[in-house]
Amino acid sequence: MVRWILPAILAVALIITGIWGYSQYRLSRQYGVYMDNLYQKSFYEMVGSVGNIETQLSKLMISDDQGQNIMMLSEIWRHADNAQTNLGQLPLSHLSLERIQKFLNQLGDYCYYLIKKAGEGKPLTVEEMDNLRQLHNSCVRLNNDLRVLENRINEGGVKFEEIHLKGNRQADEVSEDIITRQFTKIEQVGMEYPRLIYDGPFSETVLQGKKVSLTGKAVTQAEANQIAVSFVGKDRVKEVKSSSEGKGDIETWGVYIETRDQESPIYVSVSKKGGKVINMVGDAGKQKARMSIEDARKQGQKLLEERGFPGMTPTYQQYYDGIAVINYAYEEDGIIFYPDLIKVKLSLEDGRLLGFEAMNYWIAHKERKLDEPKLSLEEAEKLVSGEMNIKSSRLAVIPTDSGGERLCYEFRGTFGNENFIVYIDAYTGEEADILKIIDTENGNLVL
Amino acid sequence: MRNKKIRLMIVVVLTAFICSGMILHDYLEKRKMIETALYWGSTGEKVMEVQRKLKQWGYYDGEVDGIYGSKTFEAVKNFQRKHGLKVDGIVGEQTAAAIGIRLDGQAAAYQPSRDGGGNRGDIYLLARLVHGEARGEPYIGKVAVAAVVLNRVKDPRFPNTIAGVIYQPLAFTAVSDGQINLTPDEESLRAARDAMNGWDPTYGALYYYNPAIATSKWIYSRPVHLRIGKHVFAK
Repeated sequence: MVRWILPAILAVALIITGIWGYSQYRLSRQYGVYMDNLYQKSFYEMVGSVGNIETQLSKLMISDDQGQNIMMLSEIWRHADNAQTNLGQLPLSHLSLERIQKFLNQLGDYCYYLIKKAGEGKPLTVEEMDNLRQLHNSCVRLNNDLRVLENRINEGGVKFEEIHLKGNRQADEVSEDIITRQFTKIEQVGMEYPRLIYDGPFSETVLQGKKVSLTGKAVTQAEANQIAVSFVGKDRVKEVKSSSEGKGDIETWGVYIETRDQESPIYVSVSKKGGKVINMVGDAGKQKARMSIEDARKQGQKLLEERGFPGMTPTYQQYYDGIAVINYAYEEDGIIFYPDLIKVKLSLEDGRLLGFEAMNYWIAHKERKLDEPKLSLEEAEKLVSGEMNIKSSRLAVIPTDSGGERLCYEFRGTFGNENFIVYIDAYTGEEADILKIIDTENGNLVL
Repeated sequence: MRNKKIRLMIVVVLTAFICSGMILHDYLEKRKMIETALYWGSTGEKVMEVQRKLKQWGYYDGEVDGIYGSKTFEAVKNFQRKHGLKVDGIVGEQTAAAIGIRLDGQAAAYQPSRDGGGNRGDIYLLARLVHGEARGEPYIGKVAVAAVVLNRVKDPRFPNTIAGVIYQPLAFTAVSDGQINLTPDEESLRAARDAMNGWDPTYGALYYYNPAIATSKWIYSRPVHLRIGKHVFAK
């Protein structure tokens, strides 16, 4: 009897230990994932903030308005703070981070000091502008190094524990550079996400809290299906089915369409009231780029005209994988109306319509009666900073953060080889906005 | 006797020559300083810049016409008073530096950004999430998942950055179980791009769930915006 009780107990104990060991292992793996996620988040937040700092610093170079200056300096200050906090959470040795920390800290403090000055009505002196220029240059370098690090993380899917070893070396290179910056006397530091301008300027503000007011009679699902078919193009359509209804700011019928020219289906949303096409979503896979961007812009215009959207002019575009996404705004009497925005996605292979987005247009487009501008073009031009080289100008209506609209003179120009757009209010002469355009190989990005 | 006189004359002439040269030089220097300084009666581009700056900062309310008149004079004096400069109504080097204008001379070199800062990192991160959460869903379902993330960024109840929303603890299963670390496929990348470019098939939805496996009763009470594939999108 005694002989098999002992091994039995031991066996049970072994099994229990095994189960416990395995569950501990699983738990520790969970924690590992959790920690890695925290590091990733901190890293991305920091990179995002440094990018924002760089953009704001460059805009500061050509801003001349007290209000705008305070805003931009505040943004930099906040972002510097955010970047620092997140930097501090990364598993890199204290020494290698110390200098980047110092840079961010001093930048934040300097901006805080400048904000106070601006609040007292004192503009940036020549010396301060030079300092900001130097800071901007340092920031560009830091930003570029961070991008390299970010790409490495994305490509290799490297975990942060490994970064711990590699990152140290990278970080050291970065901080050496920053040591040679001279910081002049620098005195003694929450977040609104910069407008999501990935999809062209002014596309977010319009939507906030606005209702789409459509006119026209109500349509049925069947009618919506027909509308979607003619929108996509009768000869392209192979099969049409009803899809999920949409509710939200607007009620829509969903239409599912299979076409002869691509594998992936297309989904079209048609408003229940008025039968207007709100959007079209589809993926055609990689395309061969056979058209030039210029031709693509014209093609998009043609597609829009065919579908009942005349007078739309292309503003910004992005292209990748042989696909072009082009923003169109309504133009009339030489004034461009940015709130009336439609996005067109088309193939650069055969120019066919791949996607369509018109929510902004349906919300904002209306008959407008605008008063004559109080300032002439020449007067407005004088109010733009002398630092900027103006290349062209026109009248434009832009949306405001509070959901309204503003008539402005739009001045496009360059500063230090970079492209900027400055908007001067046509009635008050205030600087309404400054945008920075970045031409990448994928089109323009607006920040 | 004559030699001495001649030498004396030469010395006197030379001295006079040198003296007048120095006086002339001094005078020209002063003139140059005065010439670059701006004062009552000056006109031109630089005057316009001064007027513009002073106007933007509230010291001047006249016309930006490039003519330095009495209003500009008063404004400059005001500015100098406030800044502890010599109150003489003349925009010389010091006053110009304080206003933020270069009368002459070069600005420091400006280095443009190379890659445009940009948002490639964000798109990739979003694509990773889409790939982790919506693999196997139809394309529009992927765009919808990405759109939900962006809607959350805009909503005051959620974190304000894409990274913040994605990595919010307990928000997405793909994050808690590490699926977000898989390399996203091309379709997920394109779906993320579409969402970033403004396509939102969910019209502002903030939540989505799979009714087959969702356990929280609360989520069913949210108004439904759309159904795609396995997922229900709600606000």
